[in-house]
Amino acid sequence: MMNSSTNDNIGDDFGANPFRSVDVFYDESDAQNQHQQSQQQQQQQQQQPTNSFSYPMMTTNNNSNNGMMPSGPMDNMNMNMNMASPLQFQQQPAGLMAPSPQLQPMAQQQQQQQQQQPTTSWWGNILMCLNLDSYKMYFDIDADDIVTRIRAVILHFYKPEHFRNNVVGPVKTAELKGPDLYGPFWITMTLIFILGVTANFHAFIHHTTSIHTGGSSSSNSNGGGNTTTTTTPSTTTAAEDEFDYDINHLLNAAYICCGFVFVLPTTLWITTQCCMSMKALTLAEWVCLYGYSLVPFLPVAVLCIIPFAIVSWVLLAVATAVSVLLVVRNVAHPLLANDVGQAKAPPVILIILGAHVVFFLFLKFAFFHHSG
Amino acid sequence: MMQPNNGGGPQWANPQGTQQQHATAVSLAQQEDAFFAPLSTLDEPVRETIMRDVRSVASKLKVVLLPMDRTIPYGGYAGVSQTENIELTDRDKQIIESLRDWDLWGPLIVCLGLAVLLSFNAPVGQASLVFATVFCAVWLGAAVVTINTQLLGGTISFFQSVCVLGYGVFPMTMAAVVVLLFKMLPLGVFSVLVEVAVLFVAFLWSTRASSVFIGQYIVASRRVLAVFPVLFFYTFLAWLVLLF
Repeated sequence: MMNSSTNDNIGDDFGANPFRSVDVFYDESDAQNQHQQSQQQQQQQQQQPTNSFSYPMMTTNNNSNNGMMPSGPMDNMNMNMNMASPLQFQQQPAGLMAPSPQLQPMAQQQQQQQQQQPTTSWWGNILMCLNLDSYKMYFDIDADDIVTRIRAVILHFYKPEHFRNNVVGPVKTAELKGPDLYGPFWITMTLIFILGVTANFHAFIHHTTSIHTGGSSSSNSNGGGNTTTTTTPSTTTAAEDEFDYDINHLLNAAYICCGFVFVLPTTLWITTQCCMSMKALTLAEWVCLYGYSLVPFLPVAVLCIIPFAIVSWVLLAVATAVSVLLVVRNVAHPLLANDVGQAKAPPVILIILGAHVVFFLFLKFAFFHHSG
Repeated sequence: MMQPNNGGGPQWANPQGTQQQHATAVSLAQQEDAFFAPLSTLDEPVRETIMRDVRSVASKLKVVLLPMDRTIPYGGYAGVSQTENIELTDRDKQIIESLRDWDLWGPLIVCLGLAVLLSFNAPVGQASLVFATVFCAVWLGAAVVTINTQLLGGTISFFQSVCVLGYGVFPMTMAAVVVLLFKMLPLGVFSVLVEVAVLFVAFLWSTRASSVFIGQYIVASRRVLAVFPVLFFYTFLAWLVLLF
């Protein structure tokens, strides 16, 4: 049966992925078979309630795993994989297999489905969060795509919905790759490292200019002034006070940046999804958006080595403006469109704005600020 | 679609995959030796058993330190080549062939050496903190880079990649020795420049072997995405050496 052959492909490689709303390896040759299935399934869907739209694997597991919960995590995953394959195609609508304009509401209803059945599916979800293969779909990206996205952040940040719809894509389709996690993770790591280095360098310059009298000696102590010396030595010459590097800059940078890119979007997603029931963006989209919004801060962090306070204020303000415009322009429309009474979305947008301002102040006062 | 070429099971922790590739090139006599090996190595002296591992580690260290080949593009950075099949020189093939039998003794020795060296020069009372930082940075960094390579669709096995990255830390350790010696010389502000130059050379050396190895296990369009974390990892280590 053609069903089983394609089932094996999906069941073996990825199992059942709670985050997945579209088949990653969409096969063009199977489109016809799936089309025929879809016509049959759409008839079924009209009969069934909205439960059928998303994660039928969970419903079937609910029915069949009651008496025999497996012991180890591997057993559970294997069972999920085995249970998913024959049943996944019977109930799964074609919208999840073929690119269609219905994909966006699919993702939302899928998450709604997961919330409607939290008792037996969350354990399976947790186990699949720990499995590496669940995340492979978010790293299915090429170097050219990353460059395109970074360029879009810098050039098209002000266009409403451009980054989300035209560059990233809400879900994975044939043209757009969907949200990725490679960009956010490594941009965050790079920014943490650059902040740790430049904050120490900024402190070193401030230290040497405050010790030496006059400006001429400060240029000597910069050691040639070339930017290859990206960090501070642990000791200066014997005649001066010893400059102690501060490893806390790196740690603080790690906390602030990781909190901004991973914890804050998760909180916003939980808030809009569960508390306000606005199913606008998936979690991956939130994290992807916030991750790429750190791109303007990368060059600015390097330029903030310049010891004048006004320079760092202006540069950081510009980067914050670009970053917040990118996020708000891409988030506002989905939030407002999904808001029922037009009353809950504007506070969320204000919270996003406020969080960016707080991030900006954190950066300024934690890394590039010296009194006096 | 990437077909995992290991012998089943989780792709990330399957050392048998590499040995299966290796077994096809072994002759029949050696296969017989391998079959009888558990019986024959019991009779050998302990020194021989230990020296086998020592020789294996030493050969891999020597291979990692091979100088760059200037005839191929990117100065030996075949890892970032955009062609589908990387044209490997004999030296690169030697590197890959010898690093295929992975072991974790070498990376452990190298990492311990680096951590101990850096903790010698630490401020009073912070020696253990420095040691712990360097040790964790090396192993966690190697793990993160490996997981990233696998998520991008690379077919490398987990411990093999950790082994390659660990052996690549060896030039950093040697640079730390050189930097330690330089700090004893009263060079003043020039010591910083000399340190940076030495570490830059060590960085190029480290990344060369690692990027050659990792680059061939991943598709051409994503090679830069897999090699960038390797460069980032060694830059971070170089910065730690400079700092401590």
